[in-house]
Amino acid sequence: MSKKLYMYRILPGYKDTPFHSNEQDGVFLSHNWPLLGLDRQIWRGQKVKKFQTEIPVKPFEVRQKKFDLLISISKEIGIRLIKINFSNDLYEEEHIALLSLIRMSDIEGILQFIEQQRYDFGNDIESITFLVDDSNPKEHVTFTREGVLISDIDDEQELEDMLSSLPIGVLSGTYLPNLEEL
Amino acid sequence: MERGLVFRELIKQLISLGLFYCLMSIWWGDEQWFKDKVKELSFFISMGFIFLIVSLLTYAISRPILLQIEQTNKHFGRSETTFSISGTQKTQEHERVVDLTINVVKNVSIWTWLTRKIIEKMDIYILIEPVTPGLVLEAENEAMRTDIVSTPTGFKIKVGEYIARILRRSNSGEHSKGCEYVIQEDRGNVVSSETFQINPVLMSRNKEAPSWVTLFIRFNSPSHIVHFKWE
Repeated sequence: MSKKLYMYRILPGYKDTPFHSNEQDGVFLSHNWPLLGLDRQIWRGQKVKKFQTEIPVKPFEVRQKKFDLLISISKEIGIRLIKINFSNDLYEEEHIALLSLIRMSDIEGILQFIEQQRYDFGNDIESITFLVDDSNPKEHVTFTREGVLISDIDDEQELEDMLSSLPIGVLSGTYLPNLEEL
Repeated sequence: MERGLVFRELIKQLISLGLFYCLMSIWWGDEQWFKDKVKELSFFISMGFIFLIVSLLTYAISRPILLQIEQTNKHFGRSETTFSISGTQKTQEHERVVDLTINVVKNVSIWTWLTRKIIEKMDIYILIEPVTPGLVLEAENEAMRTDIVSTPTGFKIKVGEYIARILRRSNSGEHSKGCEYVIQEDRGNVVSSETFQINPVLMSRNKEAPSWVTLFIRFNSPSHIVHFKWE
């Protein structure tokens, strides 16, 4: 059963309100970044709205730049790309071309492909699926443009570690990677 | 009008006219045309004094800081943005990025010191939020910048210390601070079709800065219009 988390950025001033990760309530906090995930199974409609007005959080959209950045440093940051989805479905041959680029991990080629889609065909990246190399067990993680994290990880601790990982920090715009550090 | 220049011109005029009067009066002191000439020239000297007074006045009333904010759509270069969502289709991100520039011009004024003291006391910032709910603005690298504080639907740019430093250290001239932001829909406040205004406001301690602040800071901020449609 895959988990879907709505991701929010926690605004300054939040730290005063006592709040902890809690699997029963479907709330997950990141240790490293000011991020919070709400389990979609538990948090729906009005409940999310109420939460947003009570706790200072801000929904965010993943910038296309951040997707590009993550792809371009994927090797250094230790992730393997699995899939890139666009806001419009790709044509069959484009899809095959992209898959083979990903399989060969031709970063230059993938970035060129994305740029062409973006500026020639008006097609933004909708989501990216990747695998963190040194995580155990190896599970695919999908992060969408609307800030939804989809993963098969169901252990609370592991999910929190995932939220605290560098790739999530890059995508949510809370971490600026320094290549010498990685 | 620059005071120094006006003053130098006046001195030069006084010297040349003084010489003219002394020398000419030796030879043509009692002729009628000379008397007419002296009247004419004294008129020009009095004009010079008037200019000097005016330049002193502008020095006294000119405001030391001009804050000029510009917001243009980065892709189209216009002061409005069209943003539409229909089903899974959405206006592309790079077409709804707005380039925001804060230009700070420092003028020569006798109020510089006082303004600096006021600004250092008041904790001034500029709030960028849509006037009506329905949009969320996110600045570039907002979470990592120390001069930007996020708010639920927008952000604030801290300019107090920035302006104070300009007043303290720089000569007169222009400084500018750029910050681009992207316009996003607000999923907590779904609206169908609206026109929004993004109107920067000068704030101090969580409320709008009192209007007398504009006696010291000229604040000019045209709004950015967003035509939004969600179907």
